[in-house]
Amino acid sequence: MSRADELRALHAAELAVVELEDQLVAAKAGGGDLAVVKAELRQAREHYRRLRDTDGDEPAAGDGVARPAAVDATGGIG
Amino acid sequence: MSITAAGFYGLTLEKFLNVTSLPASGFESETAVKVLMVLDAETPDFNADNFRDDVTANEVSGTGYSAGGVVITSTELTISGGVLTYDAADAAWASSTIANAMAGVGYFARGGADTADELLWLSDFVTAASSSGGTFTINWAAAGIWTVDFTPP
Repeated sequence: MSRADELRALHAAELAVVELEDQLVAAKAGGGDLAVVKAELRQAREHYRRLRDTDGDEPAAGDGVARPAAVDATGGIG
Repeated sequence: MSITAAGFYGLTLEKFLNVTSLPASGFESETAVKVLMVLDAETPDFNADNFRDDVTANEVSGTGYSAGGVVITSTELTISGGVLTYDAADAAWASSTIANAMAGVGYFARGGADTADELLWLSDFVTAASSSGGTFTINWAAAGIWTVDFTPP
């Protein structure tokens, strides 16, 4: 895959997340199937973030980025 | 044999995290869950720390960063494969100069004293991160902010 194709895929994935975030707000207000939107958004976020995290781009000068791993709270409940 | 594993019923667990006694109905609030950042000087005590005042002494400061951090939005709890996942849009501080942030701390913001804001989780950055007149972003993991496996092996 060329660099241009990689960027197209990354931007398409980000756009899908943004559109689903808008749908999430509407669904929380009663304007859609919340469970379906949440499931689709979870998948879209996971896809986008995997692309983003492997993209290799460094932050712009002055920007800061923290990349915490997901907290596994399983052992912390009980 | 149909029963092959023990487990907690996830949908009930999800409801516990969204009960109306919590601010704005809970974790999926679009207004009441905030994340602040702390320095490496913070020593979290996950057994004893309970309210935001337990971490404020080690909160980061700097241009573009207000004490208490920012509200996180597009919050969601989802269930799949026996795992409850909490996620939200990335948190960001634009035009900021923040030095050596080492962790993000999620909490319920009740709008008053920090002694009333319940701590929720701490996300370890592992490596300290800084911004200098730019945007500081917490890029949440692909797997989400936190997960609970309610059907462990």
